[in-house]
Amino acid sequence: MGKPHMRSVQAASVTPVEFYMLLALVDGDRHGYAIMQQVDADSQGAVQLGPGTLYTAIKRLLEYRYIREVESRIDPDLDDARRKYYRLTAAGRAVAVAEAERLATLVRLARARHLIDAPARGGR
Amino acid sequence: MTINRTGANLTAWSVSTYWLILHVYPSTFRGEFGESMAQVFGDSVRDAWNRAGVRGLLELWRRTVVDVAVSLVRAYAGEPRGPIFKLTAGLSILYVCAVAAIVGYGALRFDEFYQAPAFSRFGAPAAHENVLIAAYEQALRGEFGRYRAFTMAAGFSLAILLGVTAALFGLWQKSVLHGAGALVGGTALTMFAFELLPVVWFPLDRYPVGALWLMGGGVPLAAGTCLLVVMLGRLRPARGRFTHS
Repeated sequence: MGKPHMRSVQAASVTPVEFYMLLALVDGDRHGYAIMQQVDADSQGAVQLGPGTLYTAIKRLLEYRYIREVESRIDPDLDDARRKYYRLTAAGRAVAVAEAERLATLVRLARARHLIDAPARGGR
Repeated sequence: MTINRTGANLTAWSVSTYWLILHVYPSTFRGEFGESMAQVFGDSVRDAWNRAGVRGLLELWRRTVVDVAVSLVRAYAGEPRGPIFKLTAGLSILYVCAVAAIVGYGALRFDEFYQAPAFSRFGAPAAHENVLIAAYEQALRGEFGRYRAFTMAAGFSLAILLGVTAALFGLWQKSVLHGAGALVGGTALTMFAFELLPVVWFPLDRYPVGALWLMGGGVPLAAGTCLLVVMLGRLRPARGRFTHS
């Protein structure tokens, strides 16, 4: 398992979709479909994950050890099938915090340059 | 949540179809996540049906096709890359380069190579046109009655192209991940696929029997290779079975 460890050390950032997924896990463990629904709600429908995109991203986050699998259990709101649940790790939380701070810094910069929240829209 | 009979049939069909589609993913990825992906898709199907009926399902399938196409590349890119992968990837690159070079050379020397069939009422296609497509159009637009062999040849070559495309895809998927056996079959297929290339400038009217042999040779090869690839790939359903309510 040397390669995933190397990758986890080298990886400094996550993609926007992965960031949404990490955010979805901040409040607690979720299974794949719950992550998908939370991302959809958080992004106000802008990010609609399919199963393929969802699980390729989950695979990557597992390799980076930003999330980990916890015990399978049944979601009473859906059906009687057991589902794999995922939990944010300390490394994943740290990366999410770093990414959020990076974005916050960018937003502050955009405000300072009057790119957003400016009196006249569209001006240069 | 209750679903009527039509909905139950359509959702069951959708989930079964998605199970089949899952086979195009790498086997290791499918083994690890296939069941969960099918569960998530089943949940999405039920939601889409409850929200918007058939229209919701169609929209879900439209998004799913895009999702599969995008995630497939990522899934294969994330696979461990052994020597077989490198060999096959190298051969694939060589093959694509060779095809590009031959087709490019043929296009540059188009007037020299191409001779329109003498019987054609439509004449030679312009240099910028795809000669194969032009030949099909000629065959389909009126030459069939008088020149059945020509049309059959065009149909054969089309079938070969489809077969080769399917087989190459299967080859790429399976040989990269499932050992050298499929690679041997795939290499044979690739060599025979080169037989297609002379069709671009082959004077069909002069050598109709040769053309038929040339183009027809790929059909059993493509079918056989497909079979070989499937057998060596040992296609099998993912573990377990998703049961949807």
